[in-house]
Amino acid sequence: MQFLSRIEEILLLAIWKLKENAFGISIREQVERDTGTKWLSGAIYAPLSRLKKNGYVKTKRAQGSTNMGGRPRIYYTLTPLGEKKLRSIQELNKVMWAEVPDMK
Amino acid sequence: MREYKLSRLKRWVLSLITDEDMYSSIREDLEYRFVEDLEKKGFLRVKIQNTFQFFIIIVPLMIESLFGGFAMFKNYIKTAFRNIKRHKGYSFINIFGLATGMTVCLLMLMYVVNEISYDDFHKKGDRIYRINVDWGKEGSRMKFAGTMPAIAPALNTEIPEVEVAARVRTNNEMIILNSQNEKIKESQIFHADPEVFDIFSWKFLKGNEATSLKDPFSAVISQKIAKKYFGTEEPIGQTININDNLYKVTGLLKDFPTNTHLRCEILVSYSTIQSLGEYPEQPWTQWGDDLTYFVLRENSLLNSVEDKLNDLLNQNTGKWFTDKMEFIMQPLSDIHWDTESRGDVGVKGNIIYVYLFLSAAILVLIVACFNFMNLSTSRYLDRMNEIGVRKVVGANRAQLIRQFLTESLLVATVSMICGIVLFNILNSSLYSYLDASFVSSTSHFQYLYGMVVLMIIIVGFMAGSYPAWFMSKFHPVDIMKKSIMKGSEKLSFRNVLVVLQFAISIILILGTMIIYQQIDFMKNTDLGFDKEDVVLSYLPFTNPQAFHQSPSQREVPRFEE
Repeated sequence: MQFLSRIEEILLLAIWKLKENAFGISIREQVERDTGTKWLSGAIYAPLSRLKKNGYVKTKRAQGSTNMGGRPRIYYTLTPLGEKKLRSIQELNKVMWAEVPDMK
Repeated sequence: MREYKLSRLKRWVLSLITDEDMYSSIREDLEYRFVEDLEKKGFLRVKIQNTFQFFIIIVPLMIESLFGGFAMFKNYIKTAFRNIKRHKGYSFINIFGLATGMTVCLLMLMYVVNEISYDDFHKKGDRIYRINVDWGKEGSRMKFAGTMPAIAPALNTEIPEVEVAARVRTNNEMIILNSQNEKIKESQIFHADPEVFDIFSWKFLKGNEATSLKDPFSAVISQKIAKKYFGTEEPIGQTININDNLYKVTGLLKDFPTNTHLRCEILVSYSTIQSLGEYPEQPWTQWGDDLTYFVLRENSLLNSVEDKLNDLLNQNTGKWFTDKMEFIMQPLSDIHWDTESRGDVGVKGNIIYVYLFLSAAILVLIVACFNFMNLSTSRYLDRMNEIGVRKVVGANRAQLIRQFLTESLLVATVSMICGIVLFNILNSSLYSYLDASFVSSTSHFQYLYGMVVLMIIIVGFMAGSYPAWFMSKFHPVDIMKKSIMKGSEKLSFRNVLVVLQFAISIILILGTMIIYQQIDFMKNTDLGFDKEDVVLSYLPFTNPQAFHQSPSQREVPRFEE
């Protein structure tokens, strides 16, 4: 099993949470909300392109909605492979945390 | 909501390293963030922040696409620093050599930039023209920068292709009386129509652009003049005594950059001339020191302005005049290079010097790169074990080339940092020796940043290309068997480099010595008189009869710079 890096995992989850509404700006803002960092959040684009290259997410050009410059907006969605990956990460985390019910 | 568009350069860089979808997402994000930040912060801060964010986005993307992830990149940087540390002597010569070359190159490029950037800061610059005059009988024609004062008003009212036109009158030195009643000579005083501010993008700090030069006896001054005569006091509303007339200060201009032909330290209203009784009406046949500038309307033809102007000239003057007179429409960017027109203002440039400096700058940089190449390939045996191991564990040649290019880019960056320090130390002393003050001008610094980045990339690639190609070409078996002995490879390319490097160096050193001797000769040769106590003085027009009085009666005005 190939492991994802932490930022890739966060990104996959963010795209999953945003569902139909995941595009560049909204993904970045979701990551900012989730992690609490603002300044370095621009660095999401390198892992995002890696996710795309590895087949975990795919892009879709919106027909109706356009961005500020009048160009079609690019939306990101998970591929079946991406969803499977996310589930397996969740499983893994559950198993790993099961033995540590309370961190005290 | 305000619109913002990513600059063309940033868009180009972005499109190079990303696919179309990623490009679109990133562009939208950056533009959105710019507009969002603009509601809270100032424009300049947002702009700097946006550029910073741009780098945060593209640097990981670049490393990703070039090295396939951070891991290798980190390793390359680590190896490079270890090598720099291990061979301190070599590294010092290498870095210091590159730094010196870059500094010298930057110093020369600043001169070139200053020359070719003359008057390029005006927003309507590509549509600004000056009307010059070619006058005289066949065979004895002369060109003049000044034209008839009647032209500008006619351009404004009768020729629709002209967006706006204005006169700027050049003056001889004038005497200003300061608050201590001292007489001070000022040379950059111009009479100007209020429309000049629609033509030239001079920055108003205080006062109204449209009205400040309307009334007679009003003056718009630069910060420099305001500081000189009023100190820290508020300049607006003060009066200033120029040639025994009192002018009211109605506007304050930001100081002029050095790279402009028209440096109006003091602008006084053109209507003052009529109030003083000169030119009560303006006949078309009377002309002198008035420079006429106009802005061509967008999508209009310059030829039609010229035709209509000639028609106006025919209507207003006779054949005796029109036969001798010919108008020249001179684009703003040509004015700096025009050495023919009489009565012109500003420092003139020579394009040959610009080419000379440019080629010398490039040569110096090339020599520095050759030096780098020689030094890095001469100790290639030190790196052979590393290269061999890398190859054995699976590095291919392209990866090794990338590694060495990364290394040379790193060295180029370190050298550039040293070079900028050197540049800052040297530029003030060099240009005060050459008597040129342009480097302090902030308008060049935008070019400087661009040149610095460009130079790092060019030097990094140029200097690193040959070592990268050379060191990556060996077969791992040869390396492990140590069959590449020193000298077994005929490094003929390196010999060529050494010869070239020395040849260029000798040419440059000889050239410098000759120029130095010439300047020395100019400064120190015996002129036949003692120039220490000789004063060259222009007589002020206000009191020319003082010269004719007997020496004992003569009141010599006291001039101060």
